[in-house]
Amino acid sequence: MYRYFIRRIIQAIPVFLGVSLITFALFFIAPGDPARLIAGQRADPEVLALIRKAWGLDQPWWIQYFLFLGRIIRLDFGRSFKTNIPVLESILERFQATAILALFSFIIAIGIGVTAGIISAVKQYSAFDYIAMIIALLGVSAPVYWVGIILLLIFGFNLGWLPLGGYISEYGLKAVILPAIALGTRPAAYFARLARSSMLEVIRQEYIITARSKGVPEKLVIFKHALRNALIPVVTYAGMVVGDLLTGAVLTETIFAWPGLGRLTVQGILDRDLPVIQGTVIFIAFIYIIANLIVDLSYALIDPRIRYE
Amino acid sequence: MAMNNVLVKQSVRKPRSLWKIAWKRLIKNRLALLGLGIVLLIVLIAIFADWIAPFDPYKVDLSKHLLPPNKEHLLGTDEFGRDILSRIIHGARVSLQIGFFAQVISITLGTILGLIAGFYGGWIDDLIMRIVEILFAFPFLLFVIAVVAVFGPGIQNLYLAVALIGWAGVSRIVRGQVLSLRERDFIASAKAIGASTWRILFKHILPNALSPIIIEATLGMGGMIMLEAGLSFLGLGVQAPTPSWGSMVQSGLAYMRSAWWYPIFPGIVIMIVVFGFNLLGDGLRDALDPRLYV
Repeated sequence: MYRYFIRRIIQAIPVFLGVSLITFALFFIAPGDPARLIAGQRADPEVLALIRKAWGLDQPWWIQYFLFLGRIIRLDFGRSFKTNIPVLESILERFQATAILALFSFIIAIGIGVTAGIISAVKQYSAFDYIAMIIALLGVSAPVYWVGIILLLIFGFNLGWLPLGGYISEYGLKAVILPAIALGTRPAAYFARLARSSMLEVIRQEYIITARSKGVPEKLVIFKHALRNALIPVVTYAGMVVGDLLTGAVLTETIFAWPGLGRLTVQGILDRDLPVIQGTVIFIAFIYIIANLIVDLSYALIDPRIRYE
Repeated sequence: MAMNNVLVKQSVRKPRSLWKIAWKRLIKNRLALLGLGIVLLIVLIAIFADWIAPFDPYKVDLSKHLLPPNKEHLLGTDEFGRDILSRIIHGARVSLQIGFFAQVISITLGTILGLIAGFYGGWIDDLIMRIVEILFAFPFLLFVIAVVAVFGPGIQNLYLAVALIGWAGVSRIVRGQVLSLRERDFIASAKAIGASTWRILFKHILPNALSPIIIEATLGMGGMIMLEAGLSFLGLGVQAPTPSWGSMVQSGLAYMRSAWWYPIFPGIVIMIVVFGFNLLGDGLRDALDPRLYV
């Protein structure tokens, strides 16, 4: 068990390094002189030379990469060109908002998606099954920001039940409802489809037939025998959903004026604020890797077949 | 003699090709047919946009500023008095074109790299699969955003991002196919009679690995359309005044209170088109699944 855990964690290290290398390469080959971006377009040549020296910009690329890696390991993402605030500070401040949004979306996605999927499977070919699966297929196809606009129009403008955007600090938990539903729609739809097909597969297994034929009540068969095994693929998928939530957050936060990482990234792009963009991209990628690592490890906890491989 | 002929005719069944069987199965599946219908319809709309669109999508007429849907303008007008229906119709061309080319790039690269990784194995396989693993650590839209952030907004940079990262998923699928085909007898025979590596790869392995590629290409098309729309929604993709569904939703956002139709209709179209590609992809998956052959 511990062996598997340790091996899996060690395997993640090259991925971290690869991600940092790709991010570095992307910004290294970016058009424009980074020294000028730091000092301003009209800086003196002497100032530029000083900056190049201070930032190691006069070194060959591989030394620059190691300098970059060293900074990343120390969680030093530099300072924003625009506000001069350390990027890590803004990221951590904004990450809280994105994490809250993602958490609520995740709960909605699991709650609604998995429940609908299980009911669909148990009542296969029923009206519920057809309707739920068509909604799920539409849900997978609907752009997050568009769902957000519809929710805003109905519950914000017309009914006036919920705020039109803004953060918890202003409106309390009411503020999170609409963005969380918008962001949770796609994952909920995925979960529903996945839970359904996985449940259908499990129900046809021989041990379920055995349970039924020896007279176990149907409820017990579904909830105790089938559900546990049917949920394993759902857990695997949870890691991917984190990625979906993080990218979806970029779009959702734009609609709902939610002060999270996504808006920080988009603002960074509009300002051409390279340290902010680089910092957010690498931070989100790292969160994604860690989420997948946690999913893999919990997968091993749930399914003993994995760790004995 | 005549008797013999009859016998022969009866015993030789018409050859049933994989594609014929798949096609028969596909058209039996109602949802897949619906998907196919949506896809064909939107492709036709994109091709014949100039004839179908009731108005010039670029024509500004400020006297018609933000008109609600009416008999003349079925889906209303935007802030410059341009006909929204016509812009959606012309937007089909933009969105499909971008989705198509992005998909061609990612499928081509993914297929070639997957073939190479699976067929050669060894360190080449290790290298390509390690890179794939690293690319999977980036959420797709985020990576595209990063590329666009560095190289500037616009569609050519979307293609660049797709070329850099979009092939990863496809290459993994193709590699898996190659691994299972590589050891089959017909490949051994091809090698034995001296077929070149490229001939084996493209003439013997690729055709047998085609169905998962086709499924992936169809399902991925919806993803690419969504990607372009998302990027344009953030103002980083298609630039004004070119009509794109994503950028229409974005500019409509500012007027949603007074003109709900402006952001809503382009969004519905995105959803329906992506829905169509997803249905068709799902249907193809069922139709092309060799495990179902009897």
